[in-house]
Amino acid sequence: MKKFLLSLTPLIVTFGYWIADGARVSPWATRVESREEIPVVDGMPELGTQTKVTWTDEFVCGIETPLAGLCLTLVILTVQLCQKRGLKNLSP
Amino acid sequence: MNGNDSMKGITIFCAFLPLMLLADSKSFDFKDPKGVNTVIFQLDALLESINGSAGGISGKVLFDPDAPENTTGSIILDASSLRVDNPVLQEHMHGKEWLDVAKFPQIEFSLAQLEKISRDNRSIRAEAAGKMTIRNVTMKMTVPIELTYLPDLLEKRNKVPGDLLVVRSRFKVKRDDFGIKPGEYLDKVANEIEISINLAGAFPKG
Repeated sequence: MKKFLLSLTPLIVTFGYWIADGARVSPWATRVESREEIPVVDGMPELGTQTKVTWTDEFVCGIETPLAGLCLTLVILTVQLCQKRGLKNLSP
Repeated sequence: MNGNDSMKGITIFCAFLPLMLLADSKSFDFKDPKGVNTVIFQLDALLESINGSAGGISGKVLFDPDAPENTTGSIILDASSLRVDNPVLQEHMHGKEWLDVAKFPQIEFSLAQLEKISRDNRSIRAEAAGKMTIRNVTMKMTVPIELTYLPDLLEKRNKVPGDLLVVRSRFKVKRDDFGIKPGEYLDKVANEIEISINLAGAFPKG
């Protein structure tokens, strides 16, 4: 049981990290877009605004993260299962 | 005056008619030295939402505040300036399979005329009839547009005397219509592309 719970660790950790980083369904992002409304004419917002877009380099976790955790967990579980079966076959 | 002369007169009149109509039009340049002019786009597919923007705007619009129906011109977008948050996705978007920006470097909306014009304070709302060209495929389109004419306010924005024209619009295009992988990857890359523009054009005086 302890081993089974330990094998779930990669899935739990990556899933938690993914949730904490915004649960982005799209792939990993390495830059973030920020939008800011600025006046068309400086100091006169009543005349209307324009959207200023700025890109900054930043890593945002994507759907690959929990998927990688799931794969790692499945690999560990498979190895554990194979080991268990191997031990059973060795015993008289 | 014989028939030949009158024909000549009509020909000359017809040749100069567009110039006469645009006599009071001002040519607004949309290449923004402040670098704020941006096109924002969104593709909302079932599995993936792609958001991005593009800053490589240029083009000129002839606008007469007293006769907005005669507004003509074109807005050009440098296709290689399209950006998304994932560099691999951006590479694919610029690549041969999708937009092929090396072969088709420009996306252009050519404005022929304004229809259904209504005025609201400083703003003019209308339907812009024109042609959209993406990947060398040209389609007739009519998009809702809002123009705000700001006389003598260019100096406050760009430190140059002149007028400003702000163009706002939000519309959708379908990538199918422009032959961009029609019918493919619809679960990840939506067919409908929502485009939002908010551009300031400058007419410097003197």
